[in-house]
Parts: sequence; structure tokens; C-alpha cells
Amino acid sequence: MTNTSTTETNPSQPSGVHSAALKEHSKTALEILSVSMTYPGNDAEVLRDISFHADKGEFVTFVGPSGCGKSTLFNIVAGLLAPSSGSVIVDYKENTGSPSDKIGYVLQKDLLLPWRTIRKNVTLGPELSHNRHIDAQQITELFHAYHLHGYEDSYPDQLSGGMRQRAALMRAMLMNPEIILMDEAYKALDYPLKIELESELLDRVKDSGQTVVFVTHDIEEAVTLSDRIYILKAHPGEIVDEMQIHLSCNSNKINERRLAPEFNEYYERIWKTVESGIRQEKR
Amino acid sequence: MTEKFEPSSATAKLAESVLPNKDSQVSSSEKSKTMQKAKGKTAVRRKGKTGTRQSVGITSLQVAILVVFIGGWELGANHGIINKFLFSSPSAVVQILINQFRRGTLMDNVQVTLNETLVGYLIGAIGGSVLGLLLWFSKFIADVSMPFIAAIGSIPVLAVAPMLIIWFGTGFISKVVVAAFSCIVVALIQSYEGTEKVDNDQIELFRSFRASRLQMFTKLIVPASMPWLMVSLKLNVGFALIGAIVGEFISSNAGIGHMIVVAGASFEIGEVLAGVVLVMLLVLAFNLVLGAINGILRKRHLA
Repeated sequence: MTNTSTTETNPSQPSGVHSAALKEHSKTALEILSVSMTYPGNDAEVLRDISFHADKGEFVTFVGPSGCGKSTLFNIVAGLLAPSSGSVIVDYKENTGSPSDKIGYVLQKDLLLPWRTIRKNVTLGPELSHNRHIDAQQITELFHAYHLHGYEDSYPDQLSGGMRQRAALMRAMLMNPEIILMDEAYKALDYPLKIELESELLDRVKDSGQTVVFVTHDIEEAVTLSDRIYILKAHPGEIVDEMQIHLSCNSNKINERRLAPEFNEYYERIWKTVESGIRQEKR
Repeated sequence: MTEKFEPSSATAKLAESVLPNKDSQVSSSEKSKTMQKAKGKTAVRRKGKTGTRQSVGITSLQVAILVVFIGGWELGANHGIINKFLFSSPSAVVQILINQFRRGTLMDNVQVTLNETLVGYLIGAIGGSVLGLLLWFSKFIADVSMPFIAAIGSIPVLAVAPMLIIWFGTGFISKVVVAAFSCIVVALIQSYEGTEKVDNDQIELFRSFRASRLQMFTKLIVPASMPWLMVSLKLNVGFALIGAIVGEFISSNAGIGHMIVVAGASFEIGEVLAGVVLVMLLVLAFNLVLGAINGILRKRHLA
């Protein structure tokens, strides 16, 4: 056992964690404090007492079965949804229930507007927030980096699903967010492209020090990308395990990271935790 | 022969079943890749050959039905099988249209009805659509007013037209009001529903970019509602024309409706049918214009 994973059977951190205490970790980018969610008019609790944090530059992934409230949690962290209780703290500032310009997000749905060209779609963020001027040079570089050069003036319906997803990622990245939320963002991409873009993403965020909170059900993806993984169970969504990932591999290339000796062990452990959560629920 | 075609039709079916939710439910990425490839190839193949061949077949069948119908009517009328007094004949209708055209009454009547319909349509269909879109700004006002709007929409034009004629006189304005009345509610409800059907995830994307309400309206809600708007704009061409003609039926001294009422009162079936033909041609002309507008929207990827 070379990993230093911390297994918490009771994941709820002491509810008395205050912002003052938070400042001791001087580099926390995002802190979620005992967030619970029950939709109005629906008794079933979707999320129960979720607490987690992401450090600056850290890649944190949530793995869980369907119905574990991943998307609800995602919307709460993005500030698009107010939780029933609990707080979202972005860069030491309470930011519960309102979108922060420090956070960018990418969904599995590309959400490109069909009546806008790819360039106009990608530059939607700066256009809507006024405060940022659109740097033509930066956009050209972005289109090159994401292999979409030449498609600037195409419309979304002229692009393949993978290309559209890359455009969606560019749209988020153009805002230079400190924290990037990704919900199954690469699910629709074909495998080689997915690996390529994930490697690129790692290069980029390790370089820029951006924090990533990634949601997926793909354990392989979780292990190869993440610094730390939270495992969720469903009905209600709760964190059942937290795991630090250390692959003895310095490369950001996903195919090389996949071959690290610790990979299978992590994979097994996560799989067992996820599976036992599903089994418990069935009982 | 049939065995040869089986595999391709099987993939087509498979692709079709995947198509509606290709974004949401495919579990492995590699699976989805092959699915999408299969879908692309079969779609192209089907559109390329059988599609056009089938549409040519349908068109020629439609022409044949029309020829048989009109030809049979004409022959029947000439050989005494069809009563000319009750049903007239195609050649008689055409003759009436030509005579009216020569006298100049045809274009006058068309002009009157066309103007009434156009102005009524602009006020009712376009104005109603704009109002419906604007209702997006206040869910409160929309919720409060919707039952009243629906109640107004349930009134048949024919029931209120006599009253509108009394209020607005027997001239041009009353016909415009009746025409506008008959399309405003449909336009309003359709366009409001269009705004309600905008993808919530797209609204949240705008929210995450901290877009203002006005930005969201002009850059998302209006363009995303265009397909729904086009449906109501097409429907309302008919409604506006019905409104104008109903107005003319009740009280008028010109217009296609006037021509039909006068002819009907004197049992001139041929002239009534000539009026019907003119109404159909008017609708056809309107639809051509709308088709062109739709084409422009499609070019801009709005419809």
C-alpha cells in the first residue's frame, strides 16, 4: 500500500468549521460546508450533509452511481441553485446561490446556440459580461489549441459532437476561471480525442494553477485525472469515501498515467466502494 | 434481394432509436462513436436515393388526383351528370374570373381583402407575437393574465364580429379589427410558450455569465423562440383572412367576402366558387412569402 488515502466512514466534517479556521489552509479555492438539498414539494432528500474542499490547483473528482445527486451538487457549487442548508465558499467568500465569475463550467450538453457561429458561441462569456474585451489573438490561439482552427465561422450543426464539446470547453476557458466545474464533460468524445483533451486539460490546469472539480461515473477517468477523489452514494447523495491519488508518474499524458503501477489498486478500491454503496441501497 | 437490404435497415433502425437521446444516455464513449457513425452513413444514403424518388412519386400522384377531380367535374357538368346550377363547372369559374378581371372588379376586390388582411395580420399576428415574447419578462403578469387571454381566445370571431362592426363602423377599420382579433391570441400564446420552452440549461449558462435580463431576452429567448413564432405566423395567415372575410360577410361594399355574399344571395354558385378560388390563391401567396422568410431564418440557423 503506497497510497495515502484517507478513508472516512463518517464524511461529515465537524459542522463548526468556520471561515476563520479555513484560513489556516492558505490555499483553499473552494469549500462546501454541510450542504443538504431537498427540492420544494418533494420529500426525498437529494443531498445530505455534503462537505468538501478543493485546494488551489487541485484536481478533485466526484465519482458516484446515477441518482447520487451529482448534477444537483454541481448546480449548487456553480451558484445556480441555492441549497436547503449549508454554504458554498469560493476563495474565502460566501457565494451560496449566486453565480461567481471565478467559476466556469462545462456540461455534457454543449449548450451551443445554433444561430451563432462557433466564434460567437465561444466568445459568449466576454460578450455578456462586458468587462472583458475580446482579444482576437487569444481566440485564434484557442482555436488552434483545441484543433478547431478553420471552424470559427461554422455553425454548431455543422460540427461533430466532439468538436461541439471542445467549443463548449473553449467558451468556459476564455473567461479564465479560477475554478472549472466539469460535469461528464468528455463523455460524448471518442476515446483517443478524450485522452488527448484530458492530457491537454491536465497540462493546462497544472500550468495555470486552476482548480478543477470534475464529476464523472468513469472510474478510469477519475483515477488518471485526479489528485483527490470523493465517492458518492445515492438516495440521498452522501460522500462515503475520500481518496488521495498518487500515481508514480510525472507525465500529464493520460495513457502514461493509466500505466502507473498504482492504477489498478485505486480502480479496485473505488469500484468496491461504489458497488457496496449500490448494494446497500438495494437492500 | 431482401437479404441484401436487411443489415442496412437494421442499422438505420438502431441509429433511429439512438438519435433522440444521443446526448444523454449512451454509456460508453466508444459505443456512441460507432452509433453516430452508423447514423450518419445511413441517413445520407436514405436521403440521397429513396427520399427524392419517393417525393417525385408523391408529387405526380397529387397532380394526377387534381387532374382527375377537375377533369371529372368538367366532363360531368358538360354531360349533365353534375348539376351545373348547384355545382357550376371549372370552365365556368375560370370564365367568371376572366370576365371580372377584364371589368377590373376582380383586382379591386382582391386589393380590399388583401389590405384588410395584411393590416390585421400585422397588428394581430406580429403585435401578438411581440406581446407574448415580452410576457417572458414577468412570470407574474403572465400567470395573472393567462386565463383571461385564454378566455378571449375561446371566443369565435363570428360571435363578436357584429359587435365590432357596430363599434368600428362598416368600413376598412372594422375588418382590420376583426382580422387582428382572430389571430392575436394564438400569436400571443404561441410565442409565450416558445419563451417557456427555452432550454433551462441554456438560461443557466447565461446566468453563470451574469447576463442581464435584457441580454438574456435579446440574445437567447427571442432567437430560441423563433421556430414557435414561425408556426403561429403561418397559422395566422389563414385566421387573419378568415377574419377579414367574416367582417365583409357581415357588412361591406367591397372585397372577396362581399363578392361571395352577393353571389350567394343570388344563387350564382360559379361566382361563389370564383371567390373561393381567389381566397385560396391569396393564402398560397401569403405562404410563399412566409416560406421565403422561413428560408432566411434557416440560413441564419434560427429555424
